[in-house]
This record gives sequence, C-alpha cells and structure tokens, in this order.
Amino acid sequence: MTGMTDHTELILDGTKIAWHQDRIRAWERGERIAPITIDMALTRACNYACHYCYAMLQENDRKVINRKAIFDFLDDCAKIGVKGISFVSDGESTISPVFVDAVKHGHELGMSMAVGTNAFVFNRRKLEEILPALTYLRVNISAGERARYAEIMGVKEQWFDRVVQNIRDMVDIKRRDKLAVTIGLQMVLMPQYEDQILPLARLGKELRPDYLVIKHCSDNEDGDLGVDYKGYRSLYGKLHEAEALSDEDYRVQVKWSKIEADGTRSYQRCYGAPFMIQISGSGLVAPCGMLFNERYKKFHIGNICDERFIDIWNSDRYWEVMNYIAGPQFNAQTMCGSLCLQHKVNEYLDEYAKGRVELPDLAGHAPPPHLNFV
Amino acid sequence: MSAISAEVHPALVSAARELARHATKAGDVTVAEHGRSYSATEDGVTLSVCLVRGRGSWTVAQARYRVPGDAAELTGVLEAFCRAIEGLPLQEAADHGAIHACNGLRASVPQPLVAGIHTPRSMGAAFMRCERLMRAVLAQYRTVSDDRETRNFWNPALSQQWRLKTAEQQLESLRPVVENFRKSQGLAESEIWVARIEKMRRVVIDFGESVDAARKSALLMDLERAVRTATGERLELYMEELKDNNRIRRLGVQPARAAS
Repeated sequence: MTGMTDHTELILDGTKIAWHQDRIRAWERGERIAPITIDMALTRACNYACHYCYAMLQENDRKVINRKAIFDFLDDCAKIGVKGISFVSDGESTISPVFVDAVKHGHELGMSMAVGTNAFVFNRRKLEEILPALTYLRVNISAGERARYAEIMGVKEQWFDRVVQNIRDMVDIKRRDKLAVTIGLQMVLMPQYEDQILPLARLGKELRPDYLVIKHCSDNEDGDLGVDYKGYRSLYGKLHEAEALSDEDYRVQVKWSKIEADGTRSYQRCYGAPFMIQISGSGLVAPCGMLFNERYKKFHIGNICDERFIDIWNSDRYWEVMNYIAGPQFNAQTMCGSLCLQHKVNEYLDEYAKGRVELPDLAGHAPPPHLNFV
Repeated sequence: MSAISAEVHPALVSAARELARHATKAGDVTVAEHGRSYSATEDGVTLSVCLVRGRGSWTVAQARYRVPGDAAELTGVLEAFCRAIEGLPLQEAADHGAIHACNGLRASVPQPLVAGIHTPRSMGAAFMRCERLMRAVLAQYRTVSDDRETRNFWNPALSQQWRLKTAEQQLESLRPVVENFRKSQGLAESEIWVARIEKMRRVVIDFGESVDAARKSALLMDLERAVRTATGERLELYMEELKDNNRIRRLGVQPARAAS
C-alpha cells in the first residue's frame, strides 16, 4: 500500500496507517496518542470450538464486561479520539447480553463499529437493529459444506444451516435498506482445510456478501497450534481458483502477504500497538492479543472492569509497556506469536522508522473504505 | 515532558556533556585485517566505521567520529552512539543504533523522558543525525557489495558463561537477585519465587495467592529489569501459562503440544 492511489475498493490485505499521518507524527514526537482502532471482545466465552482458535492460548483472569463497564469504556474512547472499535478479539461478542447496546452506543458516539462473529445467535430482528450501526460485519466461516463445517468449527451440522440463513438475512437487509455496512465472510485456513476453499468460495458467490477473505492461521511463538506454514504453498493453485470466482459485487481475496510470509516477521520492534491495541473479553487491556495469556502478565496494563479506560490509557504503566515492546529489550521475532493483528501496521512503521519509506502526500486522494480500522 | 527539537533532550544534556568530557571514540578508525572501513559526513560531522566479517554478517568492529568546533552535546551523543554500535551487526547498527545510544545515555536518567514512545526524533536532533550517518554508511557498503539483505534477525546472544551453566546453576544465580528484589518490595518468601527456566532464557516466576493480581504485572517488569542488570543477560520473565477455561473448546480440541 503506497497511499498514492485512490481506493474505492476495500483494503483486505494491507494497512491504512499511512492515512493517519497526524498520529504517526505525534507518536514520533513522543506524544501520547490514542489508538486509532481498538479490537476487543465483550466476553471470552464462545459457543463454538473451532480447531484453529487462537483464543485457546489467550486465557487470563476473567472478569465480566457489564453494561456500565462497556458504556464507560466507549465514552472514554470517544473522548480521547479512538476512531474505530471492532468486536472480534478472543471471544464471541454476540453472546454477551450487552452486545447490541454496545454496538449502538459506540455508533451514536460517532465511532466506527465492526463485528467478527460466527453469526449463530443472530436472528432477523437483531440484525435489523445492529446493521445500520456497523461499518462491517464479518462472519467467521471456515468451511462451505455442512459436515466439514461441523468438524472444523466444532459444532453440530445443523448450525451451518442457521448461519447460512443469517448470512442471507443480513445481505437481504443491507440491500433492502441500502445500508453502508460491508458484509464479509472469513475463512481461517489451515492447510488441512484445502478441500473447503472452493466450496466456501462458491457458497459465498451464492449468498452474495461483499467479500470472502481467506487468511492464514496465527500461532504462538512455540507453535502450539501446530500450524504448518510451509503447507500453504501447495494450496496456491486452489487459492487462485477461488479468487477467480470474484465478480463485480463479490470479491474473494486471499491474504497473500501474510500467507507468503511463512509465519515470519521482518521486524523486531512492535510500533503498531499504540495505534491499534487489543482488549480481551475479560476486560484486560494489553498491547496485543498474543499477550493475553496470564503467562505474559508483565505486558498486562489494566482492566476496564476495574478502571476507566481513559485512566489506563493515560497511565505511566500503559506507556511503560508500549515503550518496552518498541524498544531494544523486546524482540517480536522471538517473543511473539506469528502474524499478529498489528503485523501490517508494524511492517509499515518499521520501514518508516528505518527510513525506507516516507509518508506519502495524500492531498487530493480519496481515503479507502473502513479507514478507521487500520 | 513535551516533544523537543533541540540537539539533545534536556534531560540528557548533562549525561551527554559528561560523556563528551570522557570521550574515547573521537578520531578515525584503524582498519583491521580483513576489515572494511566506510565513513559518512554531514555538515562537517563524520562517522567512520570499520567492519569485520562476523558469523554470517558484517559487524561494526570500530566506530569513530569527528565533530567540528565545540559541540559538547553532539559529541556526547556521537560518543554514546559509537560505544553502542561497536560489536553490533551492521544492519542492527543502522536499524536501531540511535535508540541503543539513547538507552546508554538514559542509564542515569531512568524516568521516562517523553510522555509517549521514546524514538530517536523525540530524543533530539543529534540522534537523528547519528541515524542518518549510519544509514549512509550502510548505503555505501551496499554499493560495493552484493549483499541486498535488509532483514534483521539479530538478537542479543546469551553469554557463553551463562550457556555453560546447568539449569540448576542458572536458577542458583537468580535466587539472590529475586531474594533482594523480594525484600525491596516488602514481599514474603511465600509470595514470589522462580519456578524454572525454559530454553535457557525464559524465567518462569510464581506468585503466592496473597499477591494482588493487579500488582503482578509491574512486579514482573521490575524484576526482569533487576535480573537483566544483575546477570548482564537478556533474560525474559514470564508466569505460568493459564489453560483455556472455555469448556466447549477444551472438550473439543486442544493445542497440538497439549495433545501430544
């Protein structure tokens, strides 16, 4: 992403950080910057048991994010200048009783809101309520056939039917009301799910969401999920075939830049976290989801169930942790899992810090969609 | 704690001047056998380095500088920079040398110098100058070599002395550090201890139940700092991993390692 072209299409395999030059410059001057994007969950619980689920590795001291905690948090975010909040992270936010109200409140505060979900607990009424308040809704669906869906996602086969119906409903509501929300599908691809690449791409073509993105699976620094990154290479043919199913209104996009990275990082410092932090469904504030587990306690900053986020963000502790991961005492190549959420932002900022790229002149260029999700 | 554009951050001025008074790196490099020397100049300020072939990469064997006139703060920063990059791979010196130099100068000023992130720009123009000079040196090296690798996989190695120790000897050498730290924090013996060392470098710490959960994060980071200072090794502190508490996921599948 050079920033030198107009983006009318979604950036699904890159970063939009170069469009936030005011924050990059403030960061470089040593100022306290608010995150542009916060990725979080409203609970750590989940009604699925996906085989690839990174949340298995993210257990920490659980607390309940209630209505007061999330409303206070959203108010603080709006106050300090957070621009986008995605409910993805380490739990299924749609099963939280505060989910709908949280989406609507964040939207009313002027922030961009987004959701990543298995889409099981939705119904038409709930979708009617939330879709107008969302920038995107992304459905995690890693198979295109009932039996394999049940195997890979650890649920009953009939759950597939319900999710498919919910996708039909959301596409229908979007079209009927001409909503701006982007509806996407996401396949987390392990090499052993090769047989589901094309069935899912075809299912998407039938259901007509805006896109299907196919991404790598992340693993921790010791490879505990057993992701075979070299194994992706043999799938390239099928992945290209899936992309060829794209048409004018339905795009299939493989996250090539991450898949081709073989799980490695070109950089050692994590500069991206102050621009894009993650919060666990337990309320834990940490620079990154890969550091949620109690094992990484030294990176844990605070909990929005106990303290106001504005105080956590403004604390010396927050900036001590951010400085630690941006400094020589830290090495993301050896101390972090693979291909984290901040990976593309980190790549860009690392190249910028090393003087290999300059911030582009964007005057007169149209910003890309979903700008507030960097 | 506002951002600065001066030569050196105000909090580093006295440390830089002090270093300038005891400068040992002023002058020109002497070229080592099988070494290569490069230099870059900007506004009369020159940085020279002598590179020698290390294990798989070119390493800065010697770094020197020349500063015209009486510029004590710039001299101090260049002195810190040259001290910091000697022994580092060329790529690391160019990528992160300025921040290593800043950390060297900051040793006597431990508190944060800016409200946000410490970057060469937020530490002062002299650090940016060091960075530009070093990157000009790297560019020269690239023009005369066929080395196009820009990725940097350098990680400070553990000393041979540490690596030759058994796990029990490593634990033994950490115990007095942890003991001193425990006392300094007013913690009882049953409240903090070293559980084990993994892969020579990862130190797993356990806390007693009476230690407040919110306090553990800062304690771990402070203890890690104390351990690194005492041992001179870049050890990493962790707690025990917490297993997934989600019953559905737990019954469904476990991570590969847990299953094997």
